Amino acid sequence: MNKTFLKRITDAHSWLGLIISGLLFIVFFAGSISLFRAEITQWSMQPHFEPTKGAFLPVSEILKIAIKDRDFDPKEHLTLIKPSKHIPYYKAYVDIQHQPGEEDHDALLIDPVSGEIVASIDDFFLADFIYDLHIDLNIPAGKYIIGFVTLFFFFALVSGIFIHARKLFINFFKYRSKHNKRSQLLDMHNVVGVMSLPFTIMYAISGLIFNLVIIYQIAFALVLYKGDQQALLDDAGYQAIEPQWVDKTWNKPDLDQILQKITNEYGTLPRMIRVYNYGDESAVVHTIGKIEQAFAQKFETAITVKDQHTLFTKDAQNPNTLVQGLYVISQLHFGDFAGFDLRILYFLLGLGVCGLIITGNLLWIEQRSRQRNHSPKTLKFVNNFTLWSTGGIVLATAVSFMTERLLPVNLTTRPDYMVYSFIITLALVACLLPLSRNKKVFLGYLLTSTALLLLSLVVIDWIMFANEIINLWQQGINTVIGLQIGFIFLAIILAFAGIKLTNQKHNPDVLENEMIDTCELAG
Amino acid sequence: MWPKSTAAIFGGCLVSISIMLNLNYILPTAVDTRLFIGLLCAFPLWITMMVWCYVSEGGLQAWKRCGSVLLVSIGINAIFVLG
Repeated sequence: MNKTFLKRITDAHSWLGLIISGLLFIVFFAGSISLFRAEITQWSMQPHFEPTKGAFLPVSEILKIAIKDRDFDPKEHLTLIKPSKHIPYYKAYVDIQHQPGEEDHDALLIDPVSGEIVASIDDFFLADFIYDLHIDLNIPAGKYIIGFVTLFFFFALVSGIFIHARKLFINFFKYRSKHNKRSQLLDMHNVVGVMSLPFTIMYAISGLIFNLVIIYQIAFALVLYKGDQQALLDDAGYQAIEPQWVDKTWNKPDLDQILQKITNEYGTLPRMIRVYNYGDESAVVHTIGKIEQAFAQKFETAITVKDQHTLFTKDAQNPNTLVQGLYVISQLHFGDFAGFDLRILYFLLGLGVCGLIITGNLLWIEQRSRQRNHSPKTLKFVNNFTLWSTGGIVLATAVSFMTERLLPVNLTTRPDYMVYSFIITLALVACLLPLSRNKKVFLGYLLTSTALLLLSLVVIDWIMFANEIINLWQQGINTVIGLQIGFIFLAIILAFAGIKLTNQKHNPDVLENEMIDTCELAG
Repeated sequence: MWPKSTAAIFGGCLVSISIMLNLNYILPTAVDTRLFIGLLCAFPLWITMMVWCYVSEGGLQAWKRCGSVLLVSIGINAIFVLG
């Protein structure tokens, strides 16, 4: 590799890295938290409700309860997600008659034992909100924006390999802690980058497949399938289920028998049960489930209710390479193919990439501030932007956890207030940032505030739900306490870092360096 | 940077689509396997073109590089589609 090649690729690496850094931090930070999405949902929800014990009601009963007294549209779907370890309720999605622009479904949590509708799924939106931040930023077309951010992230990884190739192994354990700030940042950036490389490449490719596959789908449908998109989807294993409504009430449908047969065959009740044309003779039961004992194996069936005719089956005996391959990629991406410890490892690696992003931006600032023709305004903006998109996001997330816990469960606009609290915190940090003279101290305040919020969260948990938490623990449901331990652990780390940064203003040597930095930034 | 980025994003995307289409015609495997291989190879190919574009002198050279690969690949596409 010649010098020109390296210079050009380094320029592209640093500029594109800087441009995507804010969104990429959100993706990795929210993604790391989303690894514990089910646990967070249970932490939000479970203390509000007494867990019931006993035999589960049949699925057909749960379906009847879900549509009772609702403006259910039987020509659409009725979907159930089976209870899991962390969400011990059926999730029911009932498609309802609606006008354009109105909500098209009700989302319910149904107790599998008593059949009681305990709440709306959207009442506990925190975990889904953070997950949506990860996949589409909770904004329209966000999926494609994140797709292109991932594309540039993949480029940054590949270009990083070219830049660092010669020293990839020699400098693997190199960390010059006694050297200047730039050397430290560079070593940190390189070491984290190299160590997390297999993980980040897997994330980049899988993220691109999830978010930008539409580009290839359109091209393939137009050229290979002459515009017949359904033919492409059929080949890709996404068969459409479109039973014709015959307007005859079904006669003694035995949904439970169909599900029992599937359970007997695969050893588990399907995770998703969807009924098309519910109540009509033409009804079809569509099921998807995971085979627990095998790595990345799932099954999917579509069976008519009237005569129990199998429309299609996809499993290990009737495989579709694309469906199976995408499932493997999905399992690798979400880290849910092994135990809790693997998700902890994913979480640490995810936070490591957050560190990679921050050090990358700081390196850019450091390098630019040394150039004679640097623009102080640009440097100031990048400095503030880095702080806002990292420290601000961390604090806003902690605030949204606090709002989720404090808001009454019967408040109808509960999820909205939680989202507003996140946005308002971000806006507040953005307003305060230009007023702060010492950015490190400001970051210290952000981290310390986050730590205090997390610790308060644990205290508030016990003030509000002490009996419920103990009751859950005695029943073997330890997610709430487990998450509290996680909050305390994170709070200690954040408080340590925050206090260290905040105390730097009292250290004359560091203050001197800060002043030099500030003077450099101000030009 | 922006002219190179335009070539890297749009040119790279077109090249990867075109080569993936050719792969789908050439690979002697079942259609679902071809689609999966295509999906796995598409993005690394796009990134390869992006790297080639970003190490160009400028936007024009980046477009020339993309254009040359695209011309050859589209030519092969045409043979498969029309043939």
